[in-house]
Order: sequence, then C-alpha cells, then structure tokens
Amino acid sequence: MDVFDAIKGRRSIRQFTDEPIGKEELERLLEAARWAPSGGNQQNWRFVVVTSPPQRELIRKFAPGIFAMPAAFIVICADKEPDANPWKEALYVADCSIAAQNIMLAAYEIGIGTCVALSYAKVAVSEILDLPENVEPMLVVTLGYPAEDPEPPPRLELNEIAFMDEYGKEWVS
Amino acid sequence: MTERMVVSEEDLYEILAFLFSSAHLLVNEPHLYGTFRLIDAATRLIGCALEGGELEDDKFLRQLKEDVDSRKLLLMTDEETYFQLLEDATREMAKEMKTRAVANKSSS
Ligand SMILES: Cc1cc2nc3c(=O)[nH]c(=O)nc-3n(C[C@H](O)[C@H](O)[C@H](O)COP(=O)(O)O)c2cc1C
Repeated sequence: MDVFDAIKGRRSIRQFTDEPIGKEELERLLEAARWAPSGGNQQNWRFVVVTSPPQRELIRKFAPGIFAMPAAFIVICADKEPDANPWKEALYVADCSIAAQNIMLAAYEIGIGTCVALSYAKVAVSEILDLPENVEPMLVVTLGYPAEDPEPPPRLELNEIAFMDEYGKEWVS
Repeated sequence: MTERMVVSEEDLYEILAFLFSSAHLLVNEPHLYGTFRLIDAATRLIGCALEGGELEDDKFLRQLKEDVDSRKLLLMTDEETYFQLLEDATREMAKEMKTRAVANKSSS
C-alpha cells in the first residue's frame, strides 16, 4: 500500500467485529512502533498489549472515550525518569504519539481498524495494568476489524494551516 | 409503571466506573465533552434497563437510545445537529413524562 494512501485512508474506527487479532498481526504493529523515531533515540516507550477479555472489559469501563469493545488495546506508556524536566515530558508525549501513528498506519494496511484515545482514567488504567510508578499510560490505541466505514471528518484547508516563509504569508497551492 | 427498578450489581458498577472516570477526565477536557458524557451515560443506563429486565419492552426508551446513539458522535463533526439532538432528546423525554403523568392521574 502506498504510504500516502494509508495516511489519507486511515479513519478512527469505533465499531469492531468480534474477530480476534492474531499474534502475528499484533507483533507486526509492535514492530511498526519500535521503528518510530524518538527524541535522542531514547525509546522510552513501553507497549502493553491487552487481549484477555477480563482486562479489556476493565479498561473499557474506565475509558469514557472508548465506545465499543475492541479486540485488543495497545496501551502506549512512557517509562519516565524521576523528576523529568519539561523538555523530557514533551519528548514522552511526542515519541509515544509518533509510535501510535505508526501502529495505526501499519494496522490500516492489514485491514485492522484503530482509534487512538486519550479519554480514559490514567489512574485506573495504571492500577489495572499494574504499571510501576514511573510508567505512565500516555495513549491507548484500540484495535479490531472494522464494523463501520466512517466518512472522513473535515480537515482545514491547506491555506488555513500552512504558510510560506513567514507565519501568515499565504501558502498558494 | 414499575414501582422500583434496580439495575444489576454488575451494571451498577460499570456505570459508576464510567461516571467517576468521566468526572475525573472532565476537569481538563473541553466543556462540551461534559454534555456528551451525560447523554452517553444516559443511553448506557437505558441499555442496562432494557437488558432482560422489566423494561425490556419499553418502546420509548428503546427508540430514544437508538436516536441518541446514532447521532451522538456528531459532536465531533457537526455541532449544530448535535445540539439539536440534545434539544430533541429533552423534548421527547418531557413529552413522554407528561403523557405518563396524565395517564397516572387518570388511573388514580
Ligand atoms: C490525541 C488524540 C486523542 C484522541 N482521543 C479520542 C478518544 O478518547 N476517543 C475517540 O473516540 N477518539 C479520539 N481521538 C480520535 C479523533 O477524534 C479523530 O482522530 C478525529 O476526529 C479525526 O478523525 P479520523 O481519525 O477518522 O481522521 C483522538 C485523537 C487524538 C489524536
């Protein structure tokens, strides 16, 4: 699949079939995450793959932003240094987000639907996954075979978000 | 009308987890998400009430849940239709409760 087609075609999927996702597919997604760039190549991300029904149920119950039961979750965590400064904190967010996008694009290529979610109670998810104190769940990616084919939500036009040479100087296509 | 309705213990815990998590998240989330969490909680509650309980055949609640569930995600793409949904759901509730109040009065 062409990378640009994947970027444009991927949608947030919020309804899934009951079909489970195979180990091989999950590992491919983890590989995609592993090859994401990270600040200073620190790779402070950690990935907890959740497929067991009781754990999935529990996470979903504490995630108001997750609407249907996915076949799996990948909880993207940051293994934080104690007293990380704001620069480090920004890296954790950036690194985990880029890894999430890699997972979602790789999933799209093999027909797996995803949605990245932030609306979950971090304290609850940490408890459920038994995360060490320095490990924070930064993002949750839901995964499953799509049971919907949503329309793309609108995007701002390029000339509203891109500029030429200076902020405010119009980008002309 | 049933005198007293109880959701199952499991459903109660699920809804409580949803409500507490929502309250916690809404400290920082956009304020409109609050409206969304409320109607989402409402339809989850309806879902529990309809599942095998005394209210299984309640056509009004079933229809209301369907209407709200089918349009609630418009919050993300079409705020006006979403606001209309909030108004419609409230009006439908009022209509239904008025009908029930009248029926109750005339039967007592
Ligand atoms: C950081 C972040 C957090 C998000 N959190 C949620 C969430 O909690 N629940 C949800 O359903 N979607 C969530 N989304 C998905 C967005 O709503 C979605 O990406 C956006 O509406 C654009 O739609 P698309 O992904 O189909 O292009 C999140 C997306 C991002 C990037």
